[in-house]
Amino acid sequence: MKIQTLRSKLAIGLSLVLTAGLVATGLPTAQADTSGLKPTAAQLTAWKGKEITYYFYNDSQAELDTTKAQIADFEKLTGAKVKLDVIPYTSLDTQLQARLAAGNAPDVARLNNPGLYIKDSLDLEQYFSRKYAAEFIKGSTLQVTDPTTKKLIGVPYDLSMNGPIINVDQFKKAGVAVPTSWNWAELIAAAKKVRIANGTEYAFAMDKSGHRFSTVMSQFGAFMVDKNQRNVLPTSKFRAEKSLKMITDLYKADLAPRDLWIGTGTKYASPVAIFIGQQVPVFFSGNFNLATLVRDAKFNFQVVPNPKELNGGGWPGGKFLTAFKASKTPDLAAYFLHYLADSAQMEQMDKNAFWLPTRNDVVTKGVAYPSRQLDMSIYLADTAKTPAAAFGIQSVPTLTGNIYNKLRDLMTEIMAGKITAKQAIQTQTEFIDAQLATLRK
Amino acid sequence: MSKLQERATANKWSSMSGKKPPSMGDIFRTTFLIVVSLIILAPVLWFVLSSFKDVTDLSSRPPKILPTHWAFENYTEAFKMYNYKRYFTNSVIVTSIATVLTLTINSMAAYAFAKYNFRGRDGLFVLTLAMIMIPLQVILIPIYLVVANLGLVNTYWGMIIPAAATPTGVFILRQYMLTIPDELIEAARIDGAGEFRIFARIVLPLCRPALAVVGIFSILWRWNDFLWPLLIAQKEELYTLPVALALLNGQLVVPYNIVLAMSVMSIIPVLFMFVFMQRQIVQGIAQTGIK
Amino acid sequence: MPYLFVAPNMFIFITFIIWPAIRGFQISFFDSIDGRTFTPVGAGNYRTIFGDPTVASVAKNTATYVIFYVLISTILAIALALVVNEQKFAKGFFRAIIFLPVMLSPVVVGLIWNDVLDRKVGPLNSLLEALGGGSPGWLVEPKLGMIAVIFVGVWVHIGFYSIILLAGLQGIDRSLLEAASMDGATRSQIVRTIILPLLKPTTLVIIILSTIHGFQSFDFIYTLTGGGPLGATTLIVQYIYDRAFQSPIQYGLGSAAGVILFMIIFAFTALNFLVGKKREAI
Repeated sequence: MKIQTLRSKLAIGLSLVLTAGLVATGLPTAQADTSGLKPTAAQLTAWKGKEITYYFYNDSQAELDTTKAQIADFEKLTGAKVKLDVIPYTSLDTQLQARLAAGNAPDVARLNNPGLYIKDSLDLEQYFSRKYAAEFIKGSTLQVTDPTTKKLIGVPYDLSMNGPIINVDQFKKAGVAVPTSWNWAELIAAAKKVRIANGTEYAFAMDKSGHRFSTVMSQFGAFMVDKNQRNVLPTSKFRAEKSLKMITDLYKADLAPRDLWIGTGTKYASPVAIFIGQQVPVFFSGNFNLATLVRDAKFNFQVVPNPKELNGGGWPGGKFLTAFKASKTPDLAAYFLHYLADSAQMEQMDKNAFWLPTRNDVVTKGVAYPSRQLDMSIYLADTAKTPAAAFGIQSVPTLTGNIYNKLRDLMTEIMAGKITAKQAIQTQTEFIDAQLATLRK
Repeated sequence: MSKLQERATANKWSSMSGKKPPSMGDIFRTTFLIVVSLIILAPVLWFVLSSFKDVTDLSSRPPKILPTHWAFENYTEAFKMYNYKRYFTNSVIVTSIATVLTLTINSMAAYAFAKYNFRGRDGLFVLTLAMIMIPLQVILIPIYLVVANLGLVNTYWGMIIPAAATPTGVFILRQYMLTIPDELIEAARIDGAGEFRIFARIVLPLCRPALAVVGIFSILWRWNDFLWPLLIAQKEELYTLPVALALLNGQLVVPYNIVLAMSVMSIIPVLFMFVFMQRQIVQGIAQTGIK
Repeated sequence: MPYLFVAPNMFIFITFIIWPAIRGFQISFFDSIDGRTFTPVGAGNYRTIFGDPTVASVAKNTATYVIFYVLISTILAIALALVVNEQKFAKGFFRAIIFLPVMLSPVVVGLIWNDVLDRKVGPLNSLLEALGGGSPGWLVEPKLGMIAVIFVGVWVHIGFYSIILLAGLQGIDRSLLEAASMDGATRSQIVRTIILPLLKPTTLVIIILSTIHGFQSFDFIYTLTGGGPLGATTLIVQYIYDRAFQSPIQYGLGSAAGVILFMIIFAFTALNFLVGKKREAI
């Protein structure tokens, strides 16, 4: 029920964003109310010269630059110092665990998998009222709520949305109109046509990730785990097989970058370079790549709505901020977290990095993106259309990584001709069962 | 002495033939070496050339050998975006101090193993050798815990100390020291020299080739070391070059042309040292008499 | 007194290698997903390893890699050493070039060959195409992947082994060879009957070193193939690495695999050593 509210909330937010966005162009960006952010005199004395560590990773340069700027402002505001530790995404969890194990915890961290650290995270309701959670989009705080105490132990920092991005120039050359709505058959047909007209290497490319592929499954009406931590893949297995076969067939025919997927083993690989190199007209990714495309793409590109089969919409993801119990100055840590996730800062970050906001007030006000306004509005629209079931897997935060990775590895095997889609779904079902069983131990 | 014997004692055995026109053997040898050299050089050259290509060139099919325009901005971008000077300095600091430390303690230990007879000597030496066989990844987390408990995380010493006791270094130095005649040391003792003096003033200078080899290897290992500094250096100011490279590779979106430029920049100091020191390296290994 | 000399080195050994190794051994009997809470599982991890088909394939890959790597490295290094030793023209130059890849960081090596071996954009296949040889998927076909990885492994280290063998060659007593030559022996006879046997101790060193290196190969392989395609180039050190850096995180399992790896390397080295001693090579 929480999840239903999310969608309607976003639907309202969408129209406001669009209006606000259209109006806001050309107007100076309004300053959010920061009166709640002035530290008291007592706090200033206590915090002067104290240092906290912010454990951080970034998808784009813009995020890093904005974070550094916000840190500088925070230091001026409070007289405290913030040490920024930038970590490679691939070792995010291992390094953090090593630090926690050695009693060397950071104070605040930006995380992908907050569920792993629930027992280490500060209860934020101690520092900010019970109502703090309500400042964020309902349902988005699921992954940062302690399932036993029901307390808020972190905040959703950004919402990410998956979906296709196309090379507009290539579409034009092929005489294919930029779609405002389509289904998968139409997407693939268009991609193939554009590829032939432009002589590109591939027709379609998707990030090598089970999370990205879940988007396709969702559109076909197939899901893996529901909000009650149950395995629901068996009930939708034919739809899952269908979507799986559709995508892997593209790869097997080398219409999608098969080499990149197969040749990189257990490492993550993104075909963004192929898209930037204009060798593929349709790139199935998400808003996290937008900032990089803005910087590096030398052609016209555009975000287009997700194809609709049974369902429309995309697949949600996001990053979170938590503060750690082991912090030597927990109140300062909590304050910093609060600062980063506050309206003005979130709005600024969203603007620079093309993030989607998680705060209700920012959603309502609308983010005046400096460019790509249309793209972001499409992402927001897709967020509203995303079925409630897509959020189900967030009920098992400690298992999502394993489940997505297994799916990805099975896809590799299909592409190499080792197994069929049917066998893959069977294996994935058994894997999910085994994973869920570990929760009950 | 016959002419043959003269020549034999005068220089190392290289070839039996005198000044003749290139034989079939010579031609075969040279061709073989040229082929091998090409296989070695070509990929490296390709890599360096690629670092000057821009993003479109890099993904063009078929690949172009030369860049359409020399993308020096890859290098300037890398410099700007990433604190190359800082990383370079850190690499230099860690490498040089680690090497000095390694040479000191390795040679001391090797001396003990080679020239003294003490209880547990052989056992300790075998243990040392066994240490060569433990890959870092296996003990990664436990080492980290130890270092953290000692408060050495996020410090230069944390990056330098743990790997300084290289077992291979001890092995090589001991091999060499075995060839130093005991009489020299005995004579010095009779003359009343202290043990440490003997070690520092007599033995070490004689070990120059072996020290050079271990020193150069240490420089190589420390300079290219990536996994350990990655764990220890938890703030950007401490990052060494390989850590910075790993950072780029680990980002969700990798600017490949920048990665290339940074990689090439990280090879340059090593190549430099290589060009100037390769003779010492080779002679050093030759003279340590690894038999 | 000798204890004082040995002390600093030993202290660091014990603190930073031996003690963590013991801890690692301890951890192998536990299960841990976060490095802080440990649940004892007795021999469970070892049972998993011996029963897991993935591990069987990792073991097979490792064995294949090590065997071919050691064989090819040793033979090629001996050949190179012999050739370079006799070379008259630009000897120093060739010797230097061969040693070059040793100086490259493994990450850079992986990057270089990832580019060169790329099926579509790589210069190697472009060259092969021009010569009419087709475009093999070096990094995307399992069997080719293993060949590529062995080749690159040898490419990197061959200089190191060759230099050691060169040193060994130069230590051979010339008079023996001069005498044999005067007796009318051909070059190849001299090589076979005098040089190679006298080179045995050095050859043994190469075999031991390359075996250890082979078992420990990881960095450049991981950058090159990530263990793919389809796990064809996943060797044991990557298996250990993945248990710590990829979900699902299993520190205990990784440690157990590490213990097994250590024992294998130790056994191999000891075996080589003893065989060598028996043949009086040492």
